[in-house]
Amino acid sequence: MNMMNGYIPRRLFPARPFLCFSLWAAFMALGLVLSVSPIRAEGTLDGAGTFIQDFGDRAVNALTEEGLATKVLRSRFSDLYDEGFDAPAISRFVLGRYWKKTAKEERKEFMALFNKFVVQTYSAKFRHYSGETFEVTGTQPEGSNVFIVSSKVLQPSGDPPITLSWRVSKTNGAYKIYDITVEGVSMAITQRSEFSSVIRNGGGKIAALIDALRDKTTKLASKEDETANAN
Amino acid sequence: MRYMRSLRFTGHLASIALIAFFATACTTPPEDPEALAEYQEINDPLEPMNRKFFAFNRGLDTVLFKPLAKAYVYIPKPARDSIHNMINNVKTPVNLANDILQGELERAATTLGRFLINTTIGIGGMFDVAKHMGLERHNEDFGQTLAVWGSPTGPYIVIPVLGPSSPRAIVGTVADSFLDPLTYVFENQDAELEYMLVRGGIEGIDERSRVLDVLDDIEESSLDFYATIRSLYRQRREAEILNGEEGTDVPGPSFMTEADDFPSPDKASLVQ
Repeated sequence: MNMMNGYIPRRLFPARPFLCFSLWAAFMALGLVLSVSPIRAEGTLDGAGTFIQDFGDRAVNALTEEGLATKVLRSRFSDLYDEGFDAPAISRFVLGRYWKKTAKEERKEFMALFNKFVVQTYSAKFRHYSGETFEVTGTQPEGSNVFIVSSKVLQPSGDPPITLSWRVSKTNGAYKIYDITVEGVSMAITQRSEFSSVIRNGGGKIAALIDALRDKTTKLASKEDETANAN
Repeated sequence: MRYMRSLRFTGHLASIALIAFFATACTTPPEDPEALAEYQEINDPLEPMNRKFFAFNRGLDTVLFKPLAKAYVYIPKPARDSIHNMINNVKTPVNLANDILQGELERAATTLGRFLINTTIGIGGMFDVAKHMGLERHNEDFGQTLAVWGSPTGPYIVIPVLGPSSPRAIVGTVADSFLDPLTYVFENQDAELEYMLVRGGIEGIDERSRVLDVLDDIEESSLDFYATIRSLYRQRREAEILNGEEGTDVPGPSFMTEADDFPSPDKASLVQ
């Protein structure tokens, strides 16, 4: 207490023992809150790896069930996408330099269509599932709080395993996926490259991409019942 | 005759490409700096011509390669695997030469070991015995060697019949045929063109049959199939050049820190 008196002007903090103690207690309480607060907690290598292994296992279980109707498959995929991926950040990335030039209303429309497109196209990939197994093989940091989780998909056919890398970050207490790289091919970069081509060939207008996405998602949505019956 | 026939063949291909090149206008670079950066990143000044060849190749795929590949998968998988292994084994000397030219001596040793084991115990390369002994296959070609030596890839080029390529990859393919000892064996029989066509044909059908579902999927989920394939080809080549080594950068979006006010998409509209 004597030390504190030396540093803090008496005018502000009269050296009454009780006041000093409350001040100290308040600081300690604040420190405790900050140290356990999820906003401050950053991800760890192990944490990121465990998240991907767990998320991947759950996805394979939920999406490869025998005789799953397309409607159910899409709904389950959509839930997993919302939970494990940072959809807004991905939407922004795939629009690239056009994001800034896009009006709020158009962004909103694009994001809704893009999410629908992701659900329809990526959920369909689980239709080809034939007993592949998934395992995390390592994690490396990329800057602060960003991790690259490497994993392998082992194929029962005996063909060489497929390498998947997941770009993961922890924000607001939860890990989120930003991109998946398949054998060195980034899904986000591929998508951005394609979308910018559609925009450029549409005279530099985002509307061209939105129209193309609307057509595509409508077409894919109509396939829902077909595929469900076929399976 | 020597190399004359295959040279003439490549010469014909080159003149066809040149005529097509001059017949179609090149795209002009944009002036806006952001658009220019994008233009340079895409690196496809021959896009109008490339798109025509891409459409041609797709047509050819629909009427010829895809049906052939679909028929090919009726052959039992073990037999197809043996054919695949034999193609790989035939390519090993070229692989080895490029491993050495890239200074990758450990990989060169793996390649040599694979060749010796698979050619003998694996009965002429029919069985990939070496894989089970821990010697995994990797792929090197002179195009990759040039990249390691610092040569840029150059603009994207779609070659009729053969598909996506680049000037560096084209030079690499020609150089690889000179590195291939079998070229000289068949040259003595005056059959190097036949060798090229037969080997290329089998290799092409084998590769096509392995991506039947994958390519259908990509085509179905593409808004611009040409642009998607261009991006996939480039990224795949880049990954092959880096040899997928540990510690090399994984391509992808840089981490986005700005917290914009994101409109949240209507959840109900996602699943309809």
